[in-house]
Amino acid sequence: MDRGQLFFSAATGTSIMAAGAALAVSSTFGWSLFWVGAAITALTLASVTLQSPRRKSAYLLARIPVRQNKRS
Amino acid sequence: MQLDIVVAFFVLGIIARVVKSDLELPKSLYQSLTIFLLVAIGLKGGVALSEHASLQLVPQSLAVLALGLILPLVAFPLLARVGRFDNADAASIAAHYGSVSVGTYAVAVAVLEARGIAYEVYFPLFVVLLEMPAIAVGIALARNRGHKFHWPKLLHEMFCNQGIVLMTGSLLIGYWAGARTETIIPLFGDLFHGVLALFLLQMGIVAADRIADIRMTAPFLSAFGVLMPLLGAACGALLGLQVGFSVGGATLLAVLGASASYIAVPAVMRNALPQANHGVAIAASLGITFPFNVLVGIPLYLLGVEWLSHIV
Repeated sequence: MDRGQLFFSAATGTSIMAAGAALAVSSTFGWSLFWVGAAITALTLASVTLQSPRRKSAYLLARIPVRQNKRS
Repeated sequence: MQLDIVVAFFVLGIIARVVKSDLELPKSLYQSLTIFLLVAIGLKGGVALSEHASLQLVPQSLAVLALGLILPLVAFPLLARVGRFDNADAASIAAHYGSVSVGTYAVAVAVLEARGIAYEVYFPLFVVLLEMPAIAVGIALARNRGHKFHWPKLLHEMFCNQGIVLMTGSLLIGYWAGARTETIIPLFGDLFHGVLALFLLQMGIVAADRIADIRMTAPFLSAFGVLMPLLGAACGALLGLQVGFSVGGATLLAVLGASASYIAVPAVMRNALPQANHGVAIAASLGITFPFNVLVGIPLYLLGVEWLSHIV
């Protein structure tokens, strides 16, 4: 996933969370919309974490065989 | 709120694939189920039209058709530019989201009746009407972007594909025959939900087969699958109140705008755009949008329409 998709997902998730919270506070609708937004935001954050360059680097480094230092 | 039992068969189809069962509906049976559903939906709308035909239906029908044209045009740029789907996939998903879900509509009717809210009884007509424009726009979008624009072939695909011919033909037959359709209603009316359950079983298998494609874009598709029904519902609610629907009717139009097809459009788009990955569209429609609409959306749209009716 590229940055545009992640930004769209994060923006949608947080906007729905905010709208859901406002609706729950101002009416008898409940918190279901808030939790839908929270789920989208959490999924986006999980995707960002899994795709982070640091995590990728750690994964790739772990696959490189460690060389033994040779004494001259 | 009680969930539609047919959804359970969709889940069964997914589970069958997850546990690597050899469950598979024969291709010819799947095609027969598709034909049955298209005819049943068309007939229902035609009969309703014969009972409630009046001049008032003209502006209301035009508004519904406009909604069907607008929604895929909103969805397509989001899918193609933000979602990075190729043209065929974006057009297929946009057509699904511009069209309607009969299951979601049935749940919405049940909610309105349980709360004692009146609505226009000829609404099945709009369900049929709203199936068609999104399919035409979806095909046009894919063909316009991907290939040379051949009008005769394009128009032929728009109006002469299996879905449009069956639904329009059944609508006209239902309108012409009216009450005489009683002789075939035991087949096309009473068995509708049973056949829909079998159809959804196959859809569950298809969606599970394509689950790997969804994993790659899960955050985007989940956001799109919730945002798009909210936008569609807002358009439907505003349009419904503007053309004089009751609160119940405007809520149903909001639900139709919010819902995504999983009967007519998959069948038509498979034939029209064989290169597209229809599993993604079906999975987003059935896996994200359908549960959202049933669990959260319908009560939300009713609340929104009640609020808007005081303003508009």
